[in-house]
Amino acid sequence: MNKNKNSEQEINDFLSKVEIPLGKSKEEIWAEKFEKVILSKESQQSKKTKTTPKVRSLFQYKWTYAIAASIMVLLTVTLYNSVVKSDNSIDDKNITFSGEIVASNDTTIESLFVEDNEFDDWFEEEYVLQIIN
Amino acid sequence: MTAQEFKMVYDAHFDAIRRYLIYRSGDRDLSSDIAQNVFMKVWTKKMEIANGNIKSLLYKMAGEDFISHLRRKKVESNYINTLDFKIINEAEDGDFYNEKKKEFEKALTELPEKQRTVLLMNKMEGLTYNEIAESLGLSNKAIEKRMGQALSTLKTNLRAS
Repeated sequence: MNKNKNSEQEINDFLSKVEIPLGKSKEEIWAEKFEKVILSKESQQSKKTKTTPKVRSLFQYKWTYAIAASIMVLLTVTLYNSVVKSDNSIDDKNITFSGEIVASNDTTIESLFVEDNEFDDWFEEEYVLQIIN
Repeated sequence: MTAQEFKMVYDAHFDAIRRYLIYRSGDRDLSSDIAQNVFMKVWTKKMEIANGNIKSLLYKMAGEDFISHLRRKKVESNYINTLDFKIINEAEDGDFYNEKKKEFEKALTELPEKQRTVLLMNKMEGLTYNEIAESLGLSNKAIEKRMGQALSTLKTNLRAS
């Protein structure tokens, strides 16, 4: 047992003193082999990013804004038309109202034969008759 | 992986990989070449490696490259002639010590590759069995077994000389 312990102690003792000669240092190897490769790759990559321009498509604009604008235009046109129609219908009523009184064919023909000085009386009569009837 | 990250990985692991290959091959120049190839592959193939896995991946790649080299060359490693261990202790001198030194160096070179690798990783780099197992992709038990065998073989070789 003691011999075994001694030999193990001896082995540990020797192993602690062993040196493995590595030759060139890692810094030297880096400078010789890796630095150039890495720098050249990095410069290639930076050139690529510079020379390839970004292409912007005309159709990249957001389509949602276009749809919203179209809807707004349609609403505006619809409102405008509805306002215009309502205005016209009021004028039409006025016209028809006055048209009923004036545009009756028999009354018009009869008015042609009425003397000028009697016209006012005749017209008053006709108007009153119209209202009563 | 950026150049900066790669440099950090290189600084952290290059020498360890080289030493590992020397333990296995006994050839310093070959070990240096293989280690350089391994790191160059990592850079050129732009390997994205998670921090936890990088060490074991590097050891694995180095081991595989070493085996590929052996297959290509179709030669057995000649440990006795190529291994270059040097025991440093300049303070001590004398024939007895120098003789002991040579015996030990010889015994070490005669160790089988797997046993020597584990022994030197533990004794020289101070790695625990757990760390060695993680690096080599082996179980703790396998490392313990190899260590036991290495010490036993070394003692036998020393007694024989």
